[in-house]
Amino acid sequence: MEKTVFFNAIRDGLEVESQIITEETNLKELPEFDSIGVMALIATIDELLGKTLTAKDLMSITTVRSLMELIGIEKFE
Amino acid sequence: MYSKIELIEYYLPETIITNEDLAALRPGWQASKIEEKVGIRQRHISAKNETALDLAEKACEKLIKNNGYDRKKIDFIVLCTQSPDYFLPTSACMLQSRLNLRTNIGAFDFNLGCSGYIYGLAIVKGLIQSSIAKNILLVTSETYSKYIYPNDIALRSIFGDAATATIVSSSEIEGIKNFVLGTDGRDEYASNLIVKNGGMRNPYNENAVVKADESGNQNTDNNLYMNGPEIFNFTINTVPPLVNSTLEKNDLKIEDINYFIFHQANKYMLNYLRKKLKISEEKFYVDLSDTGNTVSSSIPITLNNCISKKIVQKGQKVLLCGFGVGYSWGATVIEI
Repeated sequence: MEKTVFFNAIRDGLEVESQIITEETNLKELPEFDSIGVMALIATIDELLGKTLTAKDLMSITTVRSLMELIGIEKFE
Repeated sequence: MYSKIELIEYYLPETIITNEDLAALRPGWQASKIEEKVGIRQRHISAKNETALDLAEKACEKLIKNNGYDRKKIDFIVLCTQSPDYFLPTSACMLQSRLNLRTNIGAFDFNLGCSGYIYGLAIVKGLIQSSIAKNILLVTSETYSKYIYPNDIALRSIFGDAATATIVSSSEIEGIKNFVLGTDGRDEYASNLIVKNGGMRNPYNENAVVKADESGNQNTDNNLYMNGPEIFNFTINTVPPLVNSTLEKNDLKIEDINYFIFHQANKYMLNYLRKKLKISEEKFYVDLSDTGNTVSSSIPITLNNCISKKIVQKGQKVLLCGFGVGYSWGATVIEI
């Protein structure tokens, strides 16, 4: 998957239109990453990649890069 | 012997908690976001001394009065609750007396949450099919608000109290078709939606530690705990195959179903499930704005609203689907 497609999907899922999402974006620092944001991120990853993010996974991620590593960095180009 | 849903009524307790009421308790809490995303504007909460049995009685009396239903016809009570008045006796037995029903009838409670109405329909269908009963009062009643820690604004925003009463009777047409039921109660799933203390395993602890999450919501092991992300995962992984296997078991295709009524958990989740299942918006009900998530009552409340608004009409096929605490899930197809 192209990284920009992934970044845009995260932006749309979390509804942070004004935010530029990059690998360095720290999701936990976004005010939108609350309980509803978490649900939206789970849905986005499920829809895009068919992968289930567990609550434990969500505890461990910080940046978008850490999320990509969790999913499998080789899946992105 | 076939069975069908004959009548449904519901009762919501008088006290209403709005999003603004909750926002006043937690500065910075975004009331508008709860309405927009979760789809809840207000929820009804039972009074301090008002129990699930009290709500159940009111729902049943409303059903009898509004429909002029002869209470002598009722020959079985099946009551779904996770907030009974006592460990024993059974709430359904006390309900028999409160409603002044015959004494030569059966009555029992069963303990399930958001899948409860589906299981209730499965049980009463079995009782009718085996000629044990003819006119069954199926009741759902829940007061989760009493389990929630006062400063757990997240859970207080989601759950509302309610009771419903349904009459299921023997019929010449099959109004309740085949079921698919499921259970996975492994520890790590059971502990994602739980009241840990107060039963036999862990007694109620007056000195239970108050814990807080990142958003400042507090609770103790005496209270309701929900791991939202994990429950969301359970739902998005379980519900689509549940719906598909229910269609298959009834020899139906998705386009044969006139309307879909899922447990009203939250708007975001329901819309995601709808899209995943490729169900059109017009055939799918989402409305929990005035009640919140009412656990086992959400499906019968929605069904009642759909019938009164003529969204669902006689002869139509409606797929009902419940899922939640346990984990427990189930679905069936009904014909009104």
